[in-house]
Formats: sequence, C-alpha cells, structure tokens
Amino acid sequence: MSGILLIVDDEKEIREMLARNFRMLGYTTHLAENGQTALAFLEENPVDVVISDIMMPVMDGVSLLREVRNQYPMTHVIMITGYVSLDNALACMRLQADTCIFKPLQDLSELENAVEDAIKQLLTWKRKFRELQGMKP
Amino acid sequence: MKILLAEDDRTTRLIIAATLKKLGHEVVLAENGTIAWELLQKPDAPKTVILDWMMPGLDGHEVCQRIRSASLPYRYILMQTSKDSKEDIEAGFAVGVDDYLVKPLDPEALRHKLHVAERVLQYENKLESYATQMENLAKERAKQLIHADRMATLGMLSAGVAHEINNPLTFISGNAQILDKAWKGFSLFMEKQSPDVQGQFSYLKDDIPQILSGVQVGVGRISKIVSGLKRFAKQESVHQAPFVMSQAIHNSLELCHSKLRNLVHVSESIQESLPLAFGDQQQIEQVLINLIMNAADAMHRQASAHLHIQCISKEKQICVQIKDNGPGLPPKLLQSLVNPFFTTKDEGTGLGLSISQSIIEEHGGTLRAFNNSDQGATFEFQIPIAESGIQ
Repeated sequence: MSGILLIVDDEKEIREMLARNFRMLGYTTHLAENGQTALAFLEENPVDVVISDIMMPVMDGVSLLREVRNQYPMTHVIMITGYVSLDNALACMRLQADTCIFKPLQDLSELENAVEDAIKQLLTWKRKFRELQGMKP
Repeated sequence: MKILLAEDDRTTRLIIAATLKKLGHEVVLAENGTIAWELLQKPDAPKTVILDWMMPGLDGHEVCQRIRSASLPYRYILMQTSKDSKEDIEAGFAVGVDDYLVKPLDPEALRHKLHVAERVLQYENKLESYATQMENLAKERAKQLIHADRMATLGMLSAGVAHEINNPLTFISGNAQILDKAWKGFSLFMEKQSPDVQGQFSYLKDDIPQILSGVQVGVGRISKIVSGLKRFAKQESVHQAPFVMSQAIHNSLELCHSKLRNLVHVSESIQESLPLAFGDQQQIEQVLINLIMNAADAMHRQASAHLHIQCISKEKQICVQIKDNGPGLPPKLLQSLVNPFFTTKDEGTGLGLSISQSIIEEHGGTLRAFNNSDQGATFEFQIPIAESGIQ
C-alpha cells in the first residue's frame, strides 16, 4: 500500500514504532508530538491519514480531530488511546473519526486494516473526481 | 461472693468470718491494713472489702484511700466502726467508702448490706463487659477504616500505574510485531541463499520466532493485568436498575461455555417467581463469571466436576450460591482470598475476587466463601431486590 500518514503521539517510542511498521508496509510517514505540531505540519503538507493519540500535552487528540474535520475534510483520522473511557470513544465517534483503537495495540493488524480502508476510500473518491473532470458539462 | 475482711482484733475477726461463712460467702482474712493492701493488689483479690477503721500499720481510712487512688478495678468498700460520729462518717465517704457497718455487728444488717454490695458489683461487671465490647467494636471499625483507606489508595494507584504501563507496553508489543514481520521477510531472503550460508543461520531460524512469541505472551499477560487494574480502580460507571437474576446467570454461563464445555457438569436451582434484583446487571455478570471460572479452575482435571448454582430470595435480598465439588479452600486462605494480588493460579492477576467483592459491596451486599460439609467450596453473595415487580 502507499499513502501519506501523519503519526501523532507524545510518546517518542510509540510514534517511531508505528512509523517503522507503516514504512515497512510501503507508506510514507511523518511524525508529530502533539496536536499543535500536527496542525502546523498539515498546513504545509498533504496527508492522507492522521493516526493520533488522545491524551497529549499542549493540544490533545480530540481537539486535533475537530480541527482536521473542519479544515481538511478529505483527511482521515484514526484515534489510538490508552485511556479507554466511554467519553473518549463517544467524542471520537461524534467528531467522525474513522475508528478508535485501544492501546496496547496487541495486534497491529487492526490499525493496519483501518489505515488500508481509509486509503481505499480516498482512492475511490479521487477516482470519482478524475472521472468528473474528464466528463464534458 | 469472695470477701476480704481486714480486722486486727482476733476475736472480732473470727466472729465476723463465721457470720460471713454462714451467709455463704468465701472469706479472705487480713490481720491489719498493710496485709489487706498487699492482698488487694493481687489479680484475683476479692471485689468486696470489709475494713476496720482502727488498725495497726495502715488504718481503714488509709487502705480505702489507696484503693481509690490506685488504678485497681472497682471494689465495694464496707467500713466497720464503733465511731459513729458525723465527722468520721463524712471523712470516710470522702475517701471512697461505700457504706458503714456499725459495731457491734448486726448479722441481719450485714446480710442486707452485702446484698447491696453484690448488686453494685453486678452492675459494675455489666458496665465493664459493655465497655470492653464497645472498645473491641471501635478497634474493629478502625481496622475496617484503615483497610478501606488502603483500598482507596490502591485504587487510585492502580489507575495511575495502569495508564503508565500501557504506553511502554504499546511499543514493546508493536516493535515485537514489526520484528516478527521483518524476520519473516528475512527468512524468505535466506531461503534463496546457498545451503552453506543457510546453515550458518539455522540456529536463528527456530529461536527467533520463539523469542518473539515469548515477548508477545508476556505482553498479553501484562495487558490482562492492566485491564484488571483499571476495572479495580472502578473507572466504569455503575448503572443500577432492576434486572432478572436468572438472565444474568444464564448469560454468564453462556460466556463461560468454552471453559466449562464437557468438562464440568452444571446444574442450577432457581427459585420460581423470583423478585427482580436491583443493581448493575453487567457488573453482577462479571462477578458471576469470575466465581464460575474460579470454580472451574478449582475442579481442573477432576474426573466428576460438578458446579451447582442456586438462586433464592431471602429477606428482601437475592442470594446466589455457586457451589463446586473441588478440593475446597484451605482454612488459612479464607482470610486472604479477597486481598488484591492474592492468587493461587499460575497466570492469575489476583484481582478477580477483590473486584468481585468491591462490586458486591457497592451493591450493598456481601460476598463470602465457605467450605461445604461434604466436598468443595461455595461462594455466596446477596444483593437487594428491586422495590417492586416479580420476574
């Protein structure tokens, strides 16, 4: 698979581990340590899927999700959290995150499948747009 | 009644002693105040004391004063005196005399006064045992409070620890999974190499996958402990409502099915038209599952394993019993069963019963365990029935 991922987690080891995993699968990966630096990166660069932790200093994942939904409607967001609570899960759902995956990610394939689905959906839309552009009015 | 008689005049002492014995009392004699005082300090000293006012050594007045000022148990003090002047009597009462016997002694008066002594001492006894009872109660309560406080601290600590562990666990688990993938890729590459090169790496071929799966098993176990800790810290909110207990029992049995399967024979006796229980059905199911799994573990590899679940209503409560025919509980363990982190299983977290107990207590019920008279153990809990309605 190919696609551009932005991995947001305040824990360095986790974001590097995830980047390593998705690079191996063929994705392009970028890293950010909180919501604010993630938004700064998004301003300058195209991103297909944001994978974000929820509990982070400066700007948490739920606020980042809200901003991404407002500013970048095409970008998918997948939440990962170690702080499993109903409130967090509900917030993710209401703000239309693709899904919410709980740490410790004992099986990475759940996250990998979610990323793959997101990329497939994006590709479908992109194809539709191309078809539209090709049509005569 | 045992009575101490302190009297220096031999004749008087013998006469009084004889009278007391005739009245059915046991008499301890002292020839003077000093001896009386020594006797009174012994642990089994008489509770009733008859003192003469005038004695060599310590006189009655002095002995009385000492009894009252020392930290001795209460004694009923009768002072005998020929002096009946008002000042002396007042002086005696001032140092703690309870009553007077006027010489020459009237046996009838003595009998009555000893009755009074007996009555007063009985009250004193009652009061003392009541005080001891209260003291024990207070001690017990203090112990409970300290325990509850410790549990609350542990709860908070658990939640914190659980979250702290989750992050490192994520990258240990993730990296192990990546390494596993990378190793598979590398193995494919190695298969294309010459037999010579392959031979040099053959020892890794078997070991690496085992090492990686070892890491994953460890991660799995830690992750189980972490989720146990989180439940222990009671993050989940409680939704109490009327519910059907037999439904909860059946749901739990369903969930334990893979563990019980053909290995354990399950029977149940659920009282007909059982009232609705009041509580959080999910949490009660969690307790039931824990108790059923424990019973199944206890009867592990037993030829005729039998689990019996009984459910009845009793005094506005629903009482559930889960009975097994396993080896039973060693009496020594009964105390520590519900302590957090106490476990007898190789892979247990030691949190199951502890969580179960706090759930039941939150429902205003009790959870207890006892050994059956014939074989195995029973776990029993009660929770309140809902105000109205029959299932």
